[in-house]
Amino acid sequence: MSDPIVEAMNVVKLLGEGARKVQALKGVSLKLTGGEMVLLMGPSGSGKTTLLSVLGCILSPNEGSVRICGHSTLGLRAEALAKLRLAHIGFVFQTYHLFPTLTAIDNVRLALEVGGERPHRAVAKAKDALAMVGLAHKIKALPLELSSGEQQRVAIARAMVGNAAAILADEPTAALDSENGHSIMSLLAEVAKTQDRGVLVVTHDGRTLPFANRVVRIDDGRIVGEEQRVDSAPTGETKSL
Amino acid sequence: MKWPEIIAKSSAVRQQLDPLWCTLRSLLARGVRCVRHCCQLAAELCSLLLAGQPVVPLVLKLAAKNLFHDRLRFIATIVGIVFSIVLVSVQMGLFLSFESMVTTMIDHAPGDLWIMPLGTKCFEDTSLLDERERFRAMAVKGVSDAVPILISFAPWRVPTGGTVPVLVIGSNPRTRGLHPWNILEGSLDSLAIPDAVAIDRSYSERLGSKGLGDTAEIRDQRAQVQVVTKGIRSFTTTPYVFALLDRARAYTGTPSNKTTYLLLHLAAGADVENVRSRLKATLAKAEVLTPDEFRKRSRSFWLFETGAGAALFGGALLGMIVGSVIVAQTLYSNTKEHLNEFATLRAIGSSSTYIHAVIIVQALLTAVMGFVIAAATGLLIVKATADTALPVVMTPMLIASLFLLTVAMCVASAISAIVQVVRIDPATAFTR
Repeated sequence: MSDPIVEAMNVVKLLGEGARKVQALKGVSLKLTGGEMVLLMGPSGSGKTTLLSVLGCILSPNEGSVRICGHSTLGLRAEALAKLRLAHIGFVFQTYHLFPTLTAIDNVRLALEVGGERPHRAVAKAKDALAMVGLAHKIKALPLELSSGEQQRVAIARAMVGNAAAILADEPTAALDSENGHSIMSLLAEVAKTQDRGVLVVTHDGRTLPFANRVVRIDDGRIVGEEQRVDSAPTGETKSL
Repeated sequence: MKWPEIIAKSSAVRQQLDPLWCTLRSLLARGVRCVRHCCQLAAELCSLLLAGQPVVPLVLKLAAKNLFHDRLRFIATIVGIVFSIVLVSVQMGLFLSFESMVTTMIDHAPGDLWIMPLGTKCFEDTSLLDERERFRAMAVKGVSDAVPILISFAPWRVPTGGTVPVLVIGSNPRTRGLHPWNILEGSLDSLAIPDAVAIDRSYSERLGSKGLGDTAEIRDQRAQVQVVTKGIRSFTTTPYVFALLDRARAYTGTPSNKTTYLLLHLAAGADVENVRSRLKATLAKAEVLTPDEFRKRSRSFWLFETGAGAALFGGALLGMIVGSVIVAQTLYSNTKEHLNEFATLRAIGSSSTYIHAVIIVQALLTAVMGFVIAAATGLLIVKATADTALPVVMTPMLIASLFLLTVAMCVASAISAIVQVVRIDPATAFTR
């Protein structure tokens, strides 16, 4: 088995202040390796998004540790964490978070230029990324001129363009109809087929199950179950561990 | 206090100052990173232009889009900056004009030293010297000539009624004294005609003069305009009237043995400082200044002792404050409106420097656009006031300084917006 891209060990995360302080994660351990698509499922308030944020170096754990491509996040400051995100992690958000005033290609190249990539090289790479998600013909379109599914494709292209090893998606199909949701999950599953890239999808959409290699269930801040799926094709069979 | 105590106290002070120093160092480092980023951006733009690849860096695009997104607010900001910079440039232009007008008479008097009554504050000071001082000065070794110049106020009776106070300058044309220049009509020799005076064209209307040959009365004595000049104006708006020394004495009621200044010409090879020392020893009730010292004294009096300079600087400062507040307000609201986008940028791995660069580029764009319009407006004002009593002056140095000031003002105004984005939590990208 290859080394994990993202690895959380006994992570505890406290959210809020004073009397409102809650333990959102209570000793969670999770690994994401290359070539796999993992679904993180659980009810609302179970700690899915908090875990995704901790794995994505956006929140720092209060206890436990997180390693990204072998780098520990322990004690890193905000700027160092941002560098780690830039180098290894691509995010796909539920509501896409595209910049409304920028075209599709500019939204994608933004992920490169914030890291110091030269504009003309960023444009070339962004074009390739948009072609990979099937939007080569819409590079000049503004987000408002794109359908919801197309906007999410642009967001996926943005997450992939920097060759991030881990793609972390937060409810990527929640705002989409079933056809678009299916197509987005197919795309993410395709991304996960590369051996040096893993995809973690936070979802409570049951229709996404057939795309997963592994399903991790979380409830009340704890991992409560894990299923390894033999075939990640939409019609694949499953095997409980 | 003994050494151990001193060391203990100093280390305690150092410990207290350490956090402050750390904060300052971190702020400084951030500033340096931001400036480096902007320089890289400028270099990038230049290389793209040179390479003929019109790919605009996104930091610039993002800044421009954020800025122009709300056009009404953008226009209001530009109007604010233009107002502010025009106000500053007019005040500074008036200051420059004032500064040069204050010394214009000294500049046009070709002498090596000035002798004046003790305590003279400026050129327009009408204290009097005794003519005997002239002979004393002439007796000093190294002095070749001492030309008397009279300055005094007198009432000019306007033919249509009423009087206008004028500053009469008396000096004989055949001497190396103070004579009218920029002569439009008549000649310097015309001043030798009985009752002849020289006035400036810009004061013709005020003095009720129709031009050459027109007559008037100064202190109930006939005066005839024989010379008309251009651009000899007083910052006090009191018109200058040139006449022969004796006529000037008559117009101002000055005794014939009195004068205001003695303009000294030194013999060839004479050392100014040596002559001045000898003059100081000889003249008891007079001061001896070089033209430069006299200029400085006049400037200092009019600009700082009368409060005129403070008023001009105060106006300029007010303009800067207004401009800064307007830009700060716009950048703050713009940033607040785009906080979610900045949070997304942070989540996808952008450094805080990149985000600060977006805000600073917004400030720079605002500065450049505001400055271009303000400079054009300023030049129009310069043109419109060129022939007035107090023209606004715009020099290349002033324009360059105003540009730097605009940039500095706008960048400083970006601080409130930057402070706002420093607090951005990238986790908010998941909570929306």
